[in-house]
Amino acid sequence: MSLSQFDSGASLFSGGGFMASQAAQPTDSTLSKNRASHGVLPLTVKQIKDAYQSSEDKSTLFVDGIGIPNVCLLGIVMNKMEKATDVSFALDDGTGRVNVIRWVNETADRNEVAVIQNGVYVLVIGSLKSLHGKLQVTSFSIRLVVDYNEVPLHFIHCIQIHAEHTRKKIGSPFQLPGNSVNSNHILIGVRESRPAANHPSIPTSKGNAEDDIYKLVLDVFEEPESLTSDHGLHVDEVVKKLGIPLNKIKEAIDYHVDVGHIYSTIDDYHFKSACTS
Amino acid sequence: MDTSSPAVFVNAELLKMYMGRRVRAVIQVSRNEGGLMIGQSTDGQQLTVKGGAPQTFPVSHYVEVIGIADGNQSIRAEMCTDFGERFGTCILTLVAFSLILSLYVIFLVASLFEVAQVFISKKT
Repeated sequence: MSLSQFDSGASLFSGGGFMASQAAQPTDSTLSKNRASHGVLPLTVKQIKDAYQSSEDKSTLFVDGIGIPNVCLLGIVMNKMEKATDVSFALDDGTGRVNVIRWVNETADRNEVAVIQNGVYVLVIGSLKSLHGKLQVTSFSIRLVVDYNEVPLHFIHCIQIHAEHTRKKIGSPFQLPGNSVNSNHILIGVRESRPAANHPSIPTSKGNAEDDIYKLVLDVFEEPESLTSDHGLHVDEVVKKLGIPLNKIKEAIDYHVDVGHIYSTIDDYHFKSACTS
Repeated sequence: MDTSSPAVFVNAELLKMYMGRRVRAVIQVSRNEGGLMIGQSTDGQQLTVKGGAPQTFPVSHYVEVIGIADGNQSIRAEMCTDFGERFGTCILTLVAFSLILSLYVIFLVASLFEVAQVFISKKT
């Protein structure tokens, strides 16, 4: 469910369209089979640190309300140390530094770490581990950055994933994935630009109110009951649930159909969410 | 895990807001003058970079500078990375440019061939 959404979100240019309807590819082909189904989340060190500090159970971290599977970090190598069995360094991505360790067992591993030098940009994929109270990344893939357009691309990717998760969180303000949503309790006018902020604000312009109606309508279609139904929801049912005028609902539905969030089923009045989770 | 010294992404306008703080900026090198690197920021203004890498970077290359903002248009560099010439270059522009170039070459070859034909026919 949520993990496959990560994989869809992790693919480039996926936007908010077909969230989990496509079979997702792991971002690194060297992922072991054990990790291939867990997904990779592009994050900054600051996001990881905030998640670590705000979690009570340090063994399970949540970013934007989503459990972190594997992480993808991009930054500069600092203080590289080579030992017989591992290579460790600090990765500085501009938001902070985190320790990364790469266990070296085979020649291929040694070749992979040989190109890493202090001061170079690398892309690290690994999992988060807490060791003696300190968080570190146990990496299973380290790649040198050759095209430096990857640097802003990674940050844009982090922003995109955060925006996607925050948008979903607005629909489920206090819930972790899997809980049902009561659309009547959705906070009106919450701005997406502030991360992890759930306090409501009054919409100050017509544009804000329209966006909120679109979100409300989409959330109705993404309720578990709606997802299980084959035919989806009739437009009138959405009107009854939200108490918003029919023309506004139709406008929101047209928008979501254009973007790809929902599609019509048995006739022009029944729609279903494209999200398959 | 240490987040005590983040480097803020800045252009020339934002640099003024982070005086004395660690910043990072990408500039396109205009010239090198005795230890100073002068370039254009992403918002089209001139920035001066002091210190940093001992080597000079080629003109027109994009260089990322990480350091301390110590002036309205100046950064005291701790680290510089050469991002090359194609940083931020739109791939479509490159494709379009190479297409135009190849068409020009074809036209040139065709013209030379025609000229050669005329020359040969005149001789005979």
